[in-house]
Amino acid sequence: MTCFVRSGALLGACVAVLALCAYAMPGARAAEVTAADQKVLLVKALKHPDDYQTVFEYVRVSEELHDYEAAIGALERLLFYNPKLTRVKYELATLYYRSGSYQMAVDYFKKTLASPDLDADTRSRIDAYLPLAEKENSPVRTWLFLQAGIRYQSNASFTPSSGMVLDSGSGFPVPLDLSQPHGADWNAFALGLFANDIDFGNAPGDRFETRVTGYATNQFALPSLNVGLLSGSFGPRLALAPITWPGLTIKPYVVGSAIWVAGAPYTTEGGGGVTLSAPFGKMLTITPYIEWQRADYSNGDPANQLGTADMLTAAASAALKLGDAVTLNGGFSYQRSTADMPDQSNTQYSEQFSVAFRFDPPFAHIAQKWTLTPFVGFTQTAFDIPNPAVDPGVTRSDTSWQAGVAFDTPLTAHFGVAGALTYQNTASNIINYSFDDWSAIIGPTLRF
Amino acid sequence: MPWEKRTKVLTALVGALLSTVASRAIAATVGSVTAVNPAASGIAPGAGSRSLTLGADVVFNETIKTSGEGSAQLSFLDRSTLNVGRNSSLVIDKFVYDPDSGTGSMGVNLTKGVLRFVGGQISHTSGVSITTPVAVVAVRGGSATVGFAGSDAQKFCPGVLFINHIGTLTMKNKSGDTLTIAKQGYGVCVTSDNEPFPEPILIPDWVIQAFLDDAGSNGNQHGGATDLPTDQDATRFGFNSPRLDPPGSNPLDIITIINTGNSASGGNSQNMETSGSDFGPPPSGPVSG
Repeated sequence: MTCFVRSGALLGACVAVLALCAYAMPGARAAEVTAADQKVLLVKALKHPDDYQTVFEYVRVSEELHDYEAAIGALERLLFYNPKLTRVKYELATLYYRSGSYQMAVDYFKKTLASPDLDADTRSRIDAYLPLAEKENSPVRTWLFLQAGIRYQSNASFTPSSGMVLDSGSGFPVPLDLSQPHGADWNAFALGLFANDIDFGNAPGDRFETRVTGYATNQFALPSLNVGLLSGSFGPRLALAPITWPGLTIKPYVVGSAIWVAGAPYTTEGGGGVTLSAPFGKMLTITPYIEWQRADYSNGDPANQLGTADMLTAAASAALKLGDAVTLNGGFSYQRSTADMPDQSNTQYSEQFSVAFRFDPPFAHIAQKWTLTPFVGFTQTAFDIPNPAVDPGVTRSDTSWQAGVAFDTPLTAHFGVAGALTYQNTASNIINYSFDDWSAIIGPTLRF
Repeated sequence: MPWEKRTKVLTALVGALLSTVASRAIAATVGSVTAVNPAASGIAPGAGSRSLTLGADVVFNETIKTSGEGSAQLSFLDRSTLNVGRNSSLVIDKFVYDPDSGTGSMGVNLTKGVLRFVGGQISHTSGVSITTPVAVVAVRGGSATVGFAGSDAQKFCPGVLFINHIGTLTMKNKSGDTLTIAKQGYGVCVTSDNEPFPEPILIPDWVIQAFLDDAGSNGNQHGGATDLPTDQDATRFGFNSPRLDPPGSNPLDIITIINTGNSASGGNSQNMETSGSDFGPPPSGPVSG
């Protein structure tokens, strides 16, 4: 419990620091400083609609307030005056895109492309965005994200920092068996995220969602740590209250995964859950879910059922947009694992917090924003009873924290580079499980 | 003209003038004309027809009419805008707005032509209703196009077309049928006020384009402006082709996947270090992103 309280205080401190960083971003404070200005500008613009400085200022303020519709109305007015305004058409396209009105976005992107005075940088951006808008407007949508790269870990085997483990016979600490794989290592990895949405074509906009994830590593020095992972989920996403609460959806789903270690099956999991997506205004979305899965570690060998368990997870995450440049993400989860072997049953709490900073890349020809995401997280795991095979007198309790920064830098519409630097530290009351690890990944990305 | 007769005529004229002035004075201003292409006229309650001019007030219950070349944009106190297409006729038959509380109600009765509504504060609270001969539609939180199709679009819809751009449309008709359209780009073509609504469909681009063109300026029109805005103005005021976020790109998704792999390889490794046997339970799960 002490660990929980301590990590909670540390999490609070990290959250405060990240929130302050986010607050310091100009885009994050825009809403606060311009909320009252919009009314003044509106009255002025209504009285003098051809006062373009006022109209543009009204549009800018409205955009910063995420009042995209007010900005759209004012910009379409400017097109009444001069239907050849290329920049205004482009601005309208992006506003409709951000409002989720992809058909209108497509229309304005095409109109912008048809403008004879279109500059090369804007054209390259439209070349990137128009296919995305057309895809979003389609009743069947598929996205694919692929990354290949290399990863370095200072402690790829998660070896105890002390270099000691408990001897299962005597119960005393003994030096690690150095014949087992351990230490730093590099690997080559590949991962893929596949997503597919199929609209039901009904009035509320219900759809069927499929998500598949794949991941594989090839260690340079420790091949026994090679991992393969394949997971997927599918289910319908249904509007709950399209009139009274637009955007509120529920999704029952089936989920499953399989993991291999060193080329051999390690675990399979399967189950189902239900998740809500609840928007509160245009800035905040909360996503709670509850999920049950059966994790099977037996691998066909009845003697090896150590971790086989029923896992019940209740979790919620929240995303808060602070202007266009900053998004705060936070989450909390509770997981109860009821294992076939009672000494493997445990309860786990996790908390995560991150801030995504989006900014313009340094080169005008790059169409999409870059993202830098510092993150912190904590996990506390408390087992029910001691594991007699490890230490019959101590019930294992772990506190793990992780901090890092991830970056995503698209270079063209499809190609980019992404990576992350992470530090993880786990403190356990059993020395076998206390360790730390630095990890760095980098590699090219492909998006379709 | 005899003096008595001249007096009667003068009295009638003054009376009519006073009546007009009085009715306009008591008419509540609900917004203003922010763009207008001739011919477009307004008829306030109890007043005669007037040509709409840029910046003129729009009053409650005013009838707005446009000719075959005319179009207009009306902007309202709640930040909503209404583009009125060619050959249109509509009445702003309800507008109540409290700027302090941000609540109110708004109603438009379209009897002819096309309108494009882009929502403001009212549509985000109680909703805005648009009445047509075939249905009443409530626009909530967004933007919609409603109209009788012109010559080209008539091939697609011989009745009244309702298109949802942003937010939700809820439609009702005399038969008691209701229909909610929450999907952007979807709409329905309604030809009768007394039959169930058809299923919404994705409206083709060319139809939307035809409606948009109808409710804007053509190549030679300038919405009543004399000094036209330019792209240089847009650049000067900071509109420099903003970028969008890359799609589906939460970098922490990658961290979450890698952490799952860590659980497996780390669990296996720690178990081997502890017991010398393959395969075991995972360690306490690394923090997921």
